[in-house]
Amino acid sequence: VKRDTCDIHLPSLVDFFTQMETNVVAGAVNPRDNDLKIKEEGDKLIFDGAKNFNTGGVVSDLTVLEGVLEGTEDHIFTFVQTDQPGIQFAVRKIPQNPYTDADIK
Amino acid sequence: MATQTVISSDGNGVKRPHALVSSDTPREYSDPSVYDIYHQKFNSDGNPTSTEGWLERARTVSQILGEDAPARDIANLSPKAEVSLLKSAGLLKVLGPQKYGGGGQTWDVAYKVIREVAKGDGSLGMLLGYHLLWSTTANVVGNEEQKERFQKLIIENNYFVGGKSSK
Repeated sequence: VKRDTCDIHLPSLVDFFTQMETNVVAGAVNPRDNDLKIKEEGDKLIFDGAKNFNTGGVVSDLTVLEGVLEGTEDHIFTFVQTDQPGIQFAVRKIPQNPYTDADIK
Repeated sequence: MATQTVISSDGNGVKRPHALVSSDTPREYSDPSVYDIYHQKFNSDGNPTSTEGWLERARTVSQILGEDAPARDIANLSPKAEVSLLKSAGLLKVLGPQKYGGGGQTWDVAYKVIREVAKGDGSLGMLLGYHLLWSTTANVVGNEEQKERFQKLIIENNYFVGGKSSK
């Protein structure tokens, strides 16, 4: 995930915990994956990581991120704008017919 | 068309390849204007005001999506148009507080709405279900102030919410 820093201009659940403005560097999404790591950088929180799936994510206005704050076991949720440089989606080419005749037999 | 392996960090500093990622192919979206006639109708009708009205609205959307669901599935476009139909039909707001313009319906009605949409297009029923879950995250993990703030933000803007948490 590219580490482009960008400010988000939405109120965040995170500010309940930190009483700070929030900054999100990277996000993406899915179970089976590790938690996103959250680092404090000055008065910002940085979410970093990658996910294999994010149902509906590419057409969403907002994305919910969850991660664990570094050095703690605290899980933090936040809503962020999906359309920002800190969030990038891969383009997966899904085979239209993954089965061959041999598979079906 | 070159398919290139893209390596990404998983947050633990572990690098791994993403299979089947084509970095030179732009993502393709469906076009919301294909549903213009329905956007206009829903806008002039306004959002439903009763439980039966919400279920009827869901059946209408299901019928529209059901007309060409298999063809759209094969076309494999990212569903910008389909989500715009959920938006104009008001279905993203079925659970939202009425004071912010939502339907104020309960989860049992929301699940019926999801099921109706899924009868016509299973994929869009799933997206609606995910949105309704994610859009109410703050109701579950937030405090009273956050719950109000995020309901207001999401419902007044008619936002579609995606997301992901692990474990």
